[in-house]
Amino acid sequence: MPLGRRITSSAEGQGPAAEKDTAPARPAPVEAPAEACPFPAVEPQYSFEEMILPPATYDAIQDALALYEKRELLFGQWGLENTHRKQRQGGINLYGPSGTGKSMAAHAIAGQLGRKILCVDYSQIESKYVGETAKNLVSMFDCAKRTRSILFFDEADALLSRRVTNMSNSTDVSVNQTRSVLLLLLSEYDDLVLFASNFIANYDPAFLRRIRSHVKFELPDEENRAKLWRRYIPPQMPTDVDIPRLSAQYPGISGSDISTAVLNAALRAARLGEGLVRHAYFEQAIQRIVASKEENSELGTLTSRRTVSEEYVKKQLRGDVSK
Amino acid sequence: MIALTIIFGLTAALITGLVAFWQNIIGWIKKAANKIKEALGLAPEGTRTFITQTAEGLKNRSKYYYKEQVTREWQEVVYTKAVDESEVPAEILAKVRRAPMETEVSTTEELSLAIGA
Repeated sequence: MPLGRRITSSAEGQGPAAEKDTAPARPAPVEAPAEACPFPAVEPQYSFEEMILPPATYDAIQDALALYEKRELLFGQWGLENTHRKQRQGGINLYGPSGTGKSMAAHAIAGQLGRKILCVDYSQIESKYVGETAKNLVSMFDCAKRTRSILFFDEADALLSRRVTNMSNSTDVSVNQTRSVLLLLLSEYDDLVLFASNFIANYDPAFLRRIRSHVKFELPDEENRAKLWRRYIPPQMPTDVDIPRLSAQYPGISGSDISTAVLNAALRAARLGEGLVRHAYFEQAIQRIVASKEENSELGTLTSRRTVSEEYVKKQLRGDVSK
Repeated sequence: MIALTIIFGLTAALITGLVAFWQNIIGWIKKAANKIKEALGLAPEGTRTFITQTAEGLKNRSKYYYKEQVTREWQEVVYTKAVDESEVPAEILAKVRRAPMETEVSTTEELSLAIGA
């Protein structure tokens, strides 16, 4: 791969985006009956009872939810309506390493509030046509409002990353238009919106200001790893697993890794026709996961992923930026 | 004779060290590029690599550029990795020490040749 310059010439094409108008105004809400919403909401799949979270993370979520559960007390009886009226709304951003339960927590939050959850599917809203993505966003917020669902943006940095500052073409205009419309929608939306991301550093500061609570998710400590092993190994599974040993020997793994290891250990025992899921199979499964993580960590840390303008890329790849 | 042996030995060690340094960086860049390709199904269209002095020590920083297929948006992905000072060739280390920000190594002849090969 060549360095400091473009590799292919495919970047020149603007596609259909260049043929469309780039009207900056916010698209009008799409009128449709609630049952015809193109963005279906679902019943929450998880609850907090099923999750193993550090107390600090759980408390931070519950504090954030008090705004919705204790609204009358806070804004009515305690008078926050007079001093914090604008803080009646705002989202909750769940951030931290992958596999730490952010998406599960989003479902659990919706469940606790007795609401459905509308998980944003980017493939449904992103369009190659300028202006269409923004229109889809408006339609999605409209659906959430009419179905009283909690909007959930998973991998939110994809949509909330910094806006392009040096716009050079219709694509850049489109990126900024989408983000600006999202900012407007968030400002006007009088309900809870949930976000989850591994890369909070990528968020546009304007979005950060509009999200009232940020809850950090961390990898489990030894005590929580033991709880997670116990949670994911069904009581009826015949096994000689030594959970304290697994928990002590394998740090730096997530709940999702533990879940995968349990399944893989069971698969091996089933395939070999053994009536027992041996401790060794759990070890082998988790070792494979740790090895794959180590291979990934040789890559270093993914410190940033953001949308940039074509002008910026051209400058970077020609190497003519000031050092 | 002894002096010559020492000089040859030192030169060989220096060359071995340099080769290892570039090979490490090349391996790292290729791995990250493959990872992006694997995850997104498209190859980065360009990359730049830097060495920078931070409070936690020396770090390699590699930037990759690709165009998202559906939205046609350009994305910049940055990977950062700690680098052992003893592995950095003296000439580059001196540049890093002098540079206020970061030193680009992707434009060095060694790396360009190795990546292009």
